[in-house]
Amino acid sequence: MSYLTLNHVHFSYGNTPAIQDVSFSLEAGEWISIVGPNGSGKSTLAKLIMGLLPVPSGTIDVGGERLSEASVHEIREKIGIIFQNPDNQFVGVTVKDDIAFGLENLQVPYPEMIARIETYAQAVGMDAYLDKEPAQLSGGQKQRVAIAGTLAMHPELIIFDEATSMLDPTGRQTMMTIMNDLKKAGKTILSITHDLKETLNADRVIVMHEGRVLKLGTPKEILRDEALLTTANLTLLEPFKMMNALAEKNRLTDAWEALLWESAFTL
Amino acid sequence: MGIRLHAVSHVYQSINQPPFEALKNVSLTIQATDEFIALVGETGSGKSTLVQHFNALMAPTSGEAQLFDVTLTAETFKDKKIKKTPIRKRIGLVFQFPEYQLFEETVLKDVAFAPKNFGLSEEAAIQKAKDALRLVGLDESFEARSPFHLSGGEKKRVSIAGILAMEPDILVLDEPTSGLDPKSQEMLMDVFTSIQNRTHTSIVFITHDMNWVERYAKRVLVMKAGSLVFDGTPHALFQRPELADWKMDVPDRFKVMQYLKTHHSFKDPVTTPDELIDAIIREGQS
Repeated sequence: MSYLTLNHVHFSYGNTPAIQDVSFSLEAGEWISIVGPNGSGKSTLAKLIMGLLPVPSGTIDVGGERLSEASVHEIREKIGIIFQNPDNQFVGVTVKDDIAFGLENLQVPYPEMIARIETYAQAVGMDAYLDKEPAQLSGGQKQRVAIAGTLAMHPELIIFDEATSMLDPTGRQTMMTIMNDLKKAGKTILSITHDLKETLNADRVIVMHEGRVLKLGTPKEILRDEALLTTANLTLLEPFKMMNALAEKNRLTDAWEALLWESAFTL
Repeated sequence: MGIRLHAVSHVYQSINQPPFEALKNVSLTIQATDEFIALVGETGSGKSTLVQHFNALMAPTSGEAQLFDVTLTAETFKDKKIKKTPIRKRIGLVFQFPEYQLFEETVLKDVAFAPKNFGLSEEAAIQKAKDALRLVGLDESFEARSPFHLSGGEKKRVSIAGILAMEPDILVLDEPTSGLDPKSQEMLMDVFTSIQNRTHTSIVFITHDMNWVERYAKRVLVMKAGSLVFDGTPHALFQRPELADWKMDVPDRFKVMQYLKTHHSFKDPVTTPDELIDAIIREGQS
């Protein structure tokens, strides 16, 4: 069953079109990864889905409900979003406060709030840091706290908007593990990135360029398509460069294709 | 010689927390021409603290920093007679996300701001700004545009031109490509190479991306918990057994080769992806 549906969505900043005729459906429990260059409209799309920008033309449905001025608050409660900059989204004085912030807004009763804080801090491996202040945490740790705060509100859909782009390799790796765990737990995920490594575990990938959907396909279909990725200012990951080099010489056997695909998961 | 740190330590003092030693006994030398150095290390390893010692924004708590003809220690740093401005003109530091600091109405005015501030006439500053814009690959058509309506990659180039307009001998960049898509990152790295080819400016860049280290750097400095643990070529770094301990990534092509070599026995030794492709093709023919 489709959880999120965009139907012929358009949006412009003044006279500059940012989103042009975008349509796609995200199934419940599915992970779609949106990739594209700077300025391709990826983040605008996230803002439209969150109802942070009005939809002037086309429709967006979330969890069976049409996004409108009347439904926007109810819909926002179903969606959790993790942004790029870990410092801009830490609002609490301590880790515990930060996770509690959203729950207080939802008026969750105190005993349940405590239980949820512990559960989700543990889920992201931050339960030993509950009394720490943001200054004592790395960027990656702050992002994990942001995820715990989001999960604690039991969102139906989680959006990651370039959530790993400011992290070091260790922080990025941890975030990838958490995203894979969420996928296994049946969460519905929309991740926005220009790091193709992050699309490997997605069910489907959307390539955006100049506000349009250039292509929607499985990671296997997208990641080898050099012409497509070059148009979108992206560069082929090393294993797919090798696959194409072998295919060009007619030497890409099924066994080598499989082995090169597996090797991509070590990146 | 440009920069020489001798046994530099730096301790952050704060009221609520125990003192934190961010740099521990760091010694290194950076030449004033043709260096292309990558500075790497995990978050909190001291990279940003280190580069702030390169252009007199910070003083060593102990040890000394010789920056061209000026020697800074904890004591001399406080000496008002020792001017820091000339050092900052010769060693230009570009912070992370410099595009947040763009503020003038036009690209040309923004780039001309720093040289004007360092005492050049309006006319001379404009000329320096034009030269700097050409160096970063932005032609005349950009000069009258608003810096706020440029792409992410273009904004970065404008802010780097602002530092280049001071004609520094050494250009230090804190994560210059962060936030850019892969193609724009590559274009920016190529800009640094072309600047060096034309002006022999030494370049130091902080990065987490080992693919850029392998492709562009001639020398790598690795920081770990405030200490400089490696100073050598990228090639030598990627052979070191301590990489995991230093929380160092390796370039993608090394990871792929490693995986393939552990899952397939090649007859001939294979060290580069090209050799790997050739080996697979040869096996297919036999």
